Amino acid sequence: MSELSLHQRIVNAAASQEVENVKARHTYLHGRADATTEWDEIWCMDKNASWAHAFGRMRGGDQVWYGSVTQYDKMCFENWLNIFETYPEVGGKDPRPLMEASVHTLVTDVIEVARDGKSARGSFITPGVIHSRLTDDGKPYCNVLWERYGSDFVLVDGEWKYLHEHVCPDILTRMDCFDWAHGEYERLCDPNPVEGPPPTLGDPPPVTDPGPMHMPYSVLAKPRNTVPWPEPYETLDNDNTYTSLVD
Amino acid sequence: MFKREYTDDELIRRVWDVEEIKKLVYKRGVYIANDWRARELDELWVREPEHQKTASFGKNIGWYVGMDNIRAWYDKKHGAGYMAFHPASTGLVELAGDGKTAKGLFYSIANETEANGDGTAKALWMPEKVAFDFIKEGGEWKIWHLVAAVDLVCEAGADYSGQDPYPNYESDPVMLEFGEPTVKELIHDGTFNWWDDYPSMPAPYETWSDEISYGPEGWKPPKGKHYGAKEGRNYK
Repeated sequence: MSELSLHQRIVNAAASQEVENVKARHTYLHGRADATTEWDEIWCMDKNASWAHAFGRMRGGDQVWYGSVTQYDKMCFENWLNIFETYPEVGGKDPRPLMEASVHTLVTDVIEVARDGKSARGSFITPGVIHSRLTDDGKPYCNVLWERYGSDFVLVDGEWKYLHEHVCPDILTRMDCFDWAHGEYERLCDPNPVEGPPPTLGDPPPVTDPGPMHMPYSVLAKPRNTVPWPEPYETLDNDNTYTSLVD
Repeated sequence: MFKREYTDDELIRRVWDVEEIKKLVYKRGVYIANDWRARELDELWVREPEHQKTASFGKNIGWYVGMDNIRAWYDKKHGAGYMAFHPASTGLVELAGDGKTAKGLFYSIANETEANGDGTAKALWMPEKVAFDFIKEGGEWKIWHLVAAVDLVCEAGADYSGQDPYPNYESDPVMLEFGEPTVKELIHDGTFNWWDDYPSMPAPYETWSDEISYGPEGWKPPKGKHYGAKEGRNYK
């Protein structure tokens, strides 16, 4: 690998902090279900944009927008229609944050900025809480969701933008109510087979690369290192990326 | 959006400053865990008289303003059985272009444990957004304004779905502990999740102005008249 100049080391150190901020902005925008701002402002929505979850991978700006903005907004508006008779005070309010606050906190950041300074890669564990109060069954809820992220970023006109996101859900359960490991054991031992919990909210969107892209906690399996932390690297290429690149 | 070019010397100083600010926030988490409330105010918060006058500490129902008022509420001695963890994650720090102030937003899946009067004890979950304004005093970063917007409060091991959908800030144990703030205002109503967007994400900025403060001087109510819970319910 090339030896970095002091100037480039300083630039890359600042880039690492900027990438951390982009990642945090994702958390706070998603917490308000503000998909429009998220994908409009902090993403590079070109043909290489990708967003992956257990259900598969969306590729390209159009498909990512449809799955992550259009479909997500649909769920929010449907939720509003389901609750406004019971809770008329939701009238006049943006329906999106009323669905839920899905807060994927960020810890264990491992960020590498490419030696060419044009991209950055990061892995994170996210212990999250997902909560809402005005719901169609009249009961508030708070779930806990633990996931891992593998994220690639690119420098576009001097600003750091998301390019790839790979979300790996591991644990989803209600806060402080259930033992998720024993619950999984009981589900598997049930003589009447039952479906596992859905890997994500709502119906999975259309994808280019079908899943499963990650398997959540199972009493029968070892953990999957689906998004290993990035190693130091020269440039974003197919050896250093969370999604293979399109020419 | 604000954007400035920096020399290498300026840039590395800025990188250093952001790391110092994050350390300040993380250290505060340890001060809380050790129940060092007086030390926190003495060692991590502003010391210069002008900044002390305008310092503020807010929660959902308002702010204490001025270090004397903050201290009168916050500097409590807890007994055995008390422990609190408010670890800060998801740091988003914006350092002013002039490098004199900074703003930060964090999230904490916090919990507090306290002894009841009868010898029993209970533990509470209280996930919260925590926003800070920081200012540099004599080369050291200090906390100037702080807002902890609690999303929900739930006893550990209890089924949160059994709670009333509307939070009652008059009986909520966290708000009872917060007491009677200097400026009373419902600044984060958990009824609507994050609809009120408070405290909001800091944006890049060049220099300080009160308009961007996380103190009461910077607060703006959400757009729309129908802010409070249960408004519009009497139409029938």
